[in-house]
Amino acid sequence: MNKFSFIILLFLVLTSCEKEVAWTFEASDSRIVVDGIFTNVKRSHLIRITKSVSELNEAPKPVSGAFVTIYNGDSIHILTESPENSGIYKTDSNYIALLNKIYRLQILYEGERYTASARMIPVTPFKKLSYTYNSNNNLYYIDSVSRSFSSRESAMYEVIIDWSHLPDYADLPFIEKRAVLYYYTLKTIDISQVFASEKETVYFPKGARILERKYSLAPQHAEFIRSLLSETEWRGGFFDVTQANVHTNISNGGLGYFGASTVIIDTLLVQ
Amino acid sequence: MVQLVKIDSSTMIKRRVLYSVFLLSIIFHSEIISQEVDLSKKISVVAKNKPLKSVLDEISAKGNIYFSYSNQQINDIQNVTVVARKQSIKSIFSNLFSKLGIDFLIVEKQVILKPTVEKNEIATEINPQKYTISGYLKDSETNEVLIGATVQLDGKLLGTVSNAYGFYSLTLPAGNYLLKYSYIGYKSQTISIELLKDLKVSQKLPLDETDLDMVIITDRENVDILEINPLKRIFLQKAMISKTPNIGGEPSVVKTLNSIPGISQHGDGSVLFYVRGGNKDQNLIIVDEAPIYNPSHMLGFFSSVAPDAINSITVNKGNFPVQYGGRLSSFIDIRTKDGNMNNFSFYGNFSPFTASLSIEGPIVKEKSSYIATYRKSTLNWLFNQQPGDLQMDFYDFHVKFNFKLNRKNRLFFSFYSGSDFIESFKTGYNTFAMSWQNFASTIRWNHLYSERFFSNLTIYTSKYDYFLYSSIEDDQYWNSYIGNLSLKNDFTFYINPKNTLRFGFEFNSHFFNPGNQNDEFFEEVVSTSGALQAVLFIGNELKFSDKLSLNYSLRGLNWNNTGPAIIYYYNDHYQVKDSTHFPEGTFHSYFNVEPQIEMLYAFNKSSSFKLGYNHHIQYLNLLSSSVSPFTTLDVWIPAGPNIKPQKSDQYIIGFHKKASEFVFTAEAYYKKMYNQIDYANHANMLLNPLIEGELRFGNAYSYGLELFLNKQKGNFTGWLGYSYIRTFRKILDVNNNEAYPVAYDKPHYITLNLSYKSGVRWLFSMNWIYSSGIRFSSPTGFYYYHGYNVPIYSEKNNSRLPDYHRMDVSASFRLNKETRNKFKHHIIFSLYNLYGRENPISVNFTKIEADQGSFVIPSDIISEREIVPTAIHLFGIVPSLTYRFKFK
Repeated sequence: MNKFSFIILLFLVLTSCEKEVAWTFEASDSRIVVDGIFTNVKRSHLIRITKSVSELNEAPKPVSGAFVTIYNGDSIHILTESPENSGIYKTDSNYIALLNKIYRLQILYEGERYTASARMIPVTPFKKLSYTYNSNNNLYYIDSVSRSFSSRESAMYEVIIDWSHLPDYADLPFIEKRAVLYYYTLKTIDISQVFASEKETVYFPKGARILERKYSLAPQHAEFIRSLLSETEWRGGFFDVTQANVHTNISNGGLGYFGASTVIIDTLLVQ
Repeated sequence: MVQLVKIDSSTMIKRRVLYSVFLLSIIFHSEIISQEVDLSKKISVVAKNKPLKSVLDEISAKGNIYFSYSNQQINDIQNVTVVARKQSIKSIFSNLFSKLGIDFLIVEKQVILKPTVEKNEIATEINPQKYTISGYLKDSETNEVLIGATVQLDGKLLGTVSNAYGFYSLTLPAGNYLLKYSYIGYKSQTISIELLKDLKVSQKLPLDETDLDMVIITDRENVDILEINPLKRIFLQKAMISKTPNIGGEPSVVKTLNSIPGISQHGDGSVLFYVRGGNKDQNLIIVDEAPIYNPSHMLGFFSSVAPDAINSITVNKGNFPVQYGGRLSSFIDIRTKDGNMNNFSFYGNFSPFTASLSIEGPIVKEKSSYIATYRKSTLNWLFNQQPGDLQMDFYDFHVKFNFKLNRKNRLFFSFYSGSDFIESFKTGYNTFAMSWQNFASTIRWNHLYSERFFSNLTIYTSKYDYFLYSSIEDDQYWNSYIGNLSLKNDFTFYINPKNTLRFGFEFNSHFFNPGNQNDEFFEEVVSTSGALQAVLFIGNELKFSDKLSLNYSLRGLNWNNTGPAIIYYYNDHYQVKDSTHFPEGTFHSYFNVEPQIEMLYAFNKSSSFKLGYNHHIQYLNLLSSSVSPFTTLDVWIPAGPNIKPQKSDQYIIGFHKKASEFVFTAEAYYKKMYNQIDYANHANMLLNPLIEGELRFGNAYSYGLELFLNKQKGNFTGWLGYSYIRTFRKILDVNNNEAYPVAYDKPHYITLNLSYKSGVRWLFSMNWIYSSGIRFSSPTGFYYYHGYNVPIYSEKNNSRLPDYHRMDVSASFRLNKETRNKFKHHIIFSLYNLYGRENPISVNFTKIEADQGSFVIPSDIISEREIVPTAIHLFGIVPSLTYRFKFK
């Protein structure tokens, strides 16, 4: 429970609380969802295409057999689905996106054509994140990565924490000794953001390795992220805004976002 | 104590010496008369051809009652015959007096006898010369003016109502009259006047109960149904407010309003309310003439305006008084106390949530007074239980000075300030906080140009500031505000009892800041602007007969946007196509008129029928895309080149019936609202110079039926309200251009309020409220992006939260045995949400279950956990204990 909830609880003397409820959803038609960011890092870039679902926690079905291309104004690259039937479409392994280029994504699937475009803008250097020791469990947690608001730049931070190499955790499944977290800096500030619900705290041991990537966000991409957060991380607090569909740059009723970002990377060791 | 007061008139003394002496004797001896008149008592009286006087003496002796009459009016030596065996006194009266042409009137412990007056006697007055009786109605103890009190020709459906300053004026043909003054919670007074010249009568009414907070007693039998009629306006006395305690036992203005059909609450922890399908910004709330833009404290858990400072509240849901306008849906007129002109007193209360102290008294006795009220939250003891720098704090401060310069001139100065500060959690860098402040100040000059011509000149200013701190440490904040400086003069000309003319003018200077960062460090991003408004208004209340009245009015509004300001113009895709930097001066104008008409027809003394129509204009818009019940982000912007003024047409039909101690009203309405505002998906409302491009426009319509049953008399009082209201919007580029229900479309709304006064020291109250759940958009699908579980929405507001219901109870006990003590104190115990109903304020589909049954937003996107639908509710059972005291 975060401090704000605690205030409300105290204030109300007795319980102000959140409880699980049963909820029935109306169903709507399934639509394709695009998830992918091209970056300036030379590697195989991927586009994940899935179908939307009608129930909470329902596993999304991959969109397999689509014809996916990327055009940067000079040349067209065809993305290959790999592994088969995964809905993941990849460039070759030495693909690199370039600054100020506009990338146009095209997806042909079941007779429908979906397109999106993105322009890569530069990113500025960043300060290392900070983490804090928790004496209750002798573990660490990240306490700050960036300012949530900046009038100068919007950015996304991907933080990958890995302690799989530590002998004390050798017996754990891989998924329990690795975490991927996202943080954002936006040029906008929202009341639902300021008083957002409490977020899960991820703890990690001394010796964990942290890889931090900062992604530039073009204005349209930042607006997408803001709407995404409004419907996810920032929803469920005491200052919710009107529910509305998250923005998208996918045409023809598609969902999700195709972006292009400049990325800079830093690493550190927890000690 | 009831008094029959003799008005000085030398002529009258000469003509009616006996009557006057008798009346005066009542003044001086009424205290020794202690018995109540019990007309149901059965007695036997047998008299054959005996003088009336001896019969009355016998009834007086057997019935233990007292008669008052003038033997010049009542021939008590005439012989009468009465044969009554074990009959009620009332029955004996009926049989005896009807034959003799005598009316009887019960005034507390007296039976007043007077000749029966023919119905059209006033109209057929021999002497056509007319004179005016005028003055002020006041509380006899404090000199507080009584607003909405009735002045009526006794036994006639003819009279008037005191205005917001307690002033009344009644013009009648010359003659002799009994005038009855009455007011809710006060003892009525009947005076005899001989109207042969203009008379000035400022009448003081004593409280009917030593503690007005405890009870509501109305003594408005046979009042002019065309004047005092719940179909015209709703008066809320302080006693009514006290009976609807909010959380923590604190009386709440807005919670009381929410118990009136047609005024629906948003939900728990909120002072947001919606009137007849209108949005939350369509309610004009004024405190002593100055508007209050946000009537909430502590996010919305408490109402602004300290309850102890309030004198009265008047509510209009349809037609407004002609001197007020500027909103589409309701006008709520809060009048604060003027201060005691006779004696010093202080009073207040303590509870775990708030503390309040008021002092009032004369500056110069009978000439001037002051009152000051300070209320503050006392919640920090709760916050101190939690480590950190968390704070939630608010206060209200009212002060008012009242100067009676002479009989024709009065001066008032009132000031209100309220503030909230809520400091939130710290991140690694910042401490977030929010704060808002209301300020209102008024100078009023009441002047009587003649006994029938009342003037009220008002200069008032208001300002509402909202702050959102992104870093308290660095003094970085976002601030928006709205304010005004205004001059208004309204005149009332009491042409005659059947014809009242009101007219006047108003000038407003508005100023707006839709939200910018601290101007010490940052340049203005969102253009500030101003507006000038001139208003002319005229209205006429005309009674064609005792049965039919017509109230019609017209307001002309000239609106001018003023610079300096930057205006962006948008194309059909809401993209900027042009912009203009306007220098100082007017750059855009609107002119509109607001006609209103209301016809009231009285079938008889106890039932009436209403037809009404009104057209309202609103130039001020509150932009908020929030669905939260709390005060969130308040951005006020004016109508201008991109935003047309909101307009509404409302048609009303109503019926009112009084039966025994019950008053029943039914009203149905249809309202069409134009130029209504909704928002683009995920509209950016903060620091957005293109904020007007985030708006979408269209129309709305609402219809409904409101039923209200009220019992205000006796030890057992209460009211039951039900409304069925539907409201829909059709906005361009929202919801695929299809009509959709608004979030506050809650068709069924029931309120029940019951109070029982046990003895003279106990008062028990119970409130129950039920409403359909608030609407919201529930997902119709989901997709996954970067590990986020993203909802997909189809039709807007396609679902509802579960129905809302709640019961509150309270018990108030007066600790003094004696009511005449100078120091009186009460203790009030209340239980909010008696049966612990969990009323959700939101349902969420974004959280995972964490330890100890709590729910959090997931962080790690590769960890596979189930998202759980959750609902947040605010209140369990909330007990509170409040101590109230008063010294006078």
